[in-house]
Amino acid sequence: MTQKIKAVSFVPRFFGAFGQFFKYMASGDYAARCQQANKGELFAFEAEPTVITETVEVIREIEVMAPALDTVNEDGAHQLLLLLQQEARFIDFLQESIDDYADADVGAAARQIHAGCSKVLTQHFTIEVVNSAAENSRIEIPADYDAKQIKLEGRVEGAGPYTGTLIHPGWKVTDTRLPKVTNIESLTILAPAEVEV
Amino acid sequence: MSDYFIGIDLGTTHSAVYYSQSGQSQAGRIQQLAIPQFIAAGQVDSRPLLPSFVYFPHDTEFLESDLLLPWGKAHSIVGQLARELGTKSSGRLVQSAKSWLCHSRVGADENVLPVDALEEVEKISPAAVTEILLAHLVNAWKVSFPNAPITEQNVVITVPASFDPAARALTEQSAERVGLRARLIEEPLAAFYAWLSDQKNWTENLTVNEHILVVDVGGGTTDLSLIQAVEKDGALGLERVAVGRHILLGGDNMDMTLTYHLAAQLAQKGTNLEPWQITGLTQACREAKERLLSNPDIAETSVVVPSRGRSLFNNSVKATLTQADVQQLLIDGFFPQVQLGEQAHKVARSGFSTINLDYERDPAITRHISEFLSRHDVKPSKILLNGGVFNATVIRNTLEARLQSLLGGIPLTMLTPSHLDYAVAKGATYYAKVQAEGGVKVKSGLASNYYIGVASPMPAIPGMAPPVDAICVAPFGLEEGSEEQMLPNEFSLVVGESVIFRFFQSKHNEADAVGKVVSAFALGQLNELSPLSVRLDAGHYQAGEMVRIYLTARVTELGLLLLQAHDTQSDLNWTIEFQVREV
Repeated sequence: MTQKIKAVSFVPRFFGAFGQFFKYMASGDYAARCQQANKGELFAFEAEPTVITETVEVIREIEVMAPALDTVNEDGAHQLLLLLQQEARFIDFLQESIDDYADADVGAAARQIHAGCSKVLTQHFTIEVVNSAAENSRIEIPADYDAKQIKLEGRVEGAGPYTGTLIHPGWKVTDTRLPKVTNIESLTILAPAEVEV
Repeated sequence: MSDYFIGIDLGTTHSAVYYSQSGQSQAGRIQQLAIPQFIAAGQVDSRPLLPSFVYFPHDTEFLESDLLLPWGKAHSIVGQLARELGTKSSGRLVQSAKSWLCHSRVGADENVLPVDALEEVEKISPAAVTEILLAHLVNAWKVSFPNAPITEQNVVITVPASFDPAARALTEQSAERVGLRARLIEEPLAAFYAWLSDQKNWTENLTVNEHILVVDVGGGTTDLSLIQAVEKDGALGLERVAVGRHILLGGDNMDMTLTYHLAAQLAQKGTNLEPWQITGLTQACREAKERLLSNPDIAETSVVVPSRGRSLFNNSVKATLTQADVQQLLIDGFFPQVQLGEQAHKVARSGFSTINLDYERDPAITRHISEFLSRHDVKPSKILLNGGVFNATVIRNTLEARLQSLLGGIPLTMLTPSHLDYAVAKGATYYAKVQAEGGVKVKSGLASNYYIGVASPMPAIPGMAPPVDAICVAPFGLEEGSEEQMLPNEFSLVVGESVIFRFFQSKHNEADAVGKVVSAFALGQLNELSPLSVRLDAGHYQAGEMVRIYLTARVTELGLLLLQAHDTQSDLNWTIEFQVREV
């Protein structure tokens, strides 16, 4: 809003003076205001505004996808444990401390457990090496290699192709043939309690 | 037109199914069917072999949902899980049902299995068990090939060469009840067909008149057959000329031998084993045996039977099996050095024994071979081995050496078997293919002469039954699908009443003429088979009337011996099937 005080000419000033006399006489409030104006006080709208400058930091939020960590199927894990227990008494072996037994005893048991476990592996999975080159042979890895399948170690630098020694050929599952289950509710029972009646 | 050829090896301990698509060029495309079976409660896995075990679970033993197979709810458990359960629970497991089919004193329709059945377990007959096993295999096929019903395919089922006509008929009928129209083939012959299927040109390997001995050692039985290469219309032909008797002796006996050897060793040290430990010991011995036999450099291996509790070490039973033990017990026990003509030992039996299978008394396989060869007076020059037992090089080499010395230095060739464990099912598939699409066939007729007992007229003498003569009705070598053989004389037959037929089988393999009479005094030359009790339909005759008939015999296309009585006065026919057996 812009208001300005404009000067008043003589004639309206002459007649207005009479009116002002009576208004001054009738209102104490008005008289008080006139006295202030007489002292040279300025009205609010006549005063120059004060400008305060302040710098404020603004934080902007951008939405990005959180890394999704998937849970693998627990049923499959339970089933594998069940198979290992059934064929090789795997859980029995791991749940027992072997500290107190002689190496010969552990060795003899390990032979059976090994036989059972390898039966489970061959029966339910086809496992092959990732890289069929001989261990400790020198092999070449192309620049655009699949980091899932090949892990470079040692002094890894530059753009490739890389040459290195095959330390471990790696393993991969090429076929899985797990038993079908009629229901998945009781898969957490790895072996039932056996009661001879 | 069928799409597939299917070979079913209905083994004493394991069954397997092979198949091949029709129309494809030659063999090699013979594949194995994976058979879904329980491996734990509620877990179904497809495995190449189906253990021939049937378990009848207790009502509360499994949840309803745990007994679901891909083709529906199972009432009995067949296969891997059945075998495992049987080692832990008694009185519910049926095994070796096949050997019961040709039991001499128990009828195949008699409800005798499980032998040790609990009171609440209903006993069933050997034939019914065979049916359960076959039904499982049929269902397994159905799941894998829903669009090729097995009833429309060419199916061949293997039977031991030593199966008598009745056991063959029973197998055939069990197959029929599950919807199969199957041919039968003898197992050693199937193994030979498997070998044939692997040959590019089999005639190169055989010469006229030479004999091939097939030695098929299964889990529970040993089967011997002789095949001869003969000249036929200028070309080389094959003929199966002899089969051995039913020998209940096999790879399982070897595992048991080692088990009892170790059990005796442990007993000396004061450890007496419980039944479950014996089972565990047998399992461990089998693994130890395979390890020792596959590598003669290993001097010994430890055999451990862990406790049944959660600890593998506490209360575990440990023994040591040495290479020398295995060599001595298995090689000397089962494959001793023998002379040609040596007979298998017959140990005197105890007067009473429980009703069970007639296990072989003499474990020496070489002695059974020598007996077989001398009976047929044949010196084979080629040997074909079959059965998982021969996976061990030591056993293979030993048998070769023993046969070499047995036959006195004539050059012996070991034929390379196609696969020791699966050859039978594979060969059966190849046989189905050959039957339908052509190829070399092995001529295989009846393996012995068959005789029927006929009462001869005689004045009544108190305390003496009329003597029974045996008349040859079907000669050795009578082939499937061949023309009917008619007996020269007429007989009278009682109809409308239950009568007993006695059957005999020759011990040798020289063909008798049809109608040849073996007099009552010479019946000892023959093996008597289980008698049949049959009530023949009287037709328009009075019950109990004697009807004049003439007899014909033929072998059906499926390989079954069929006797028919034809009325001389009318068109009535009676078929005397080898199906009902009474003790």
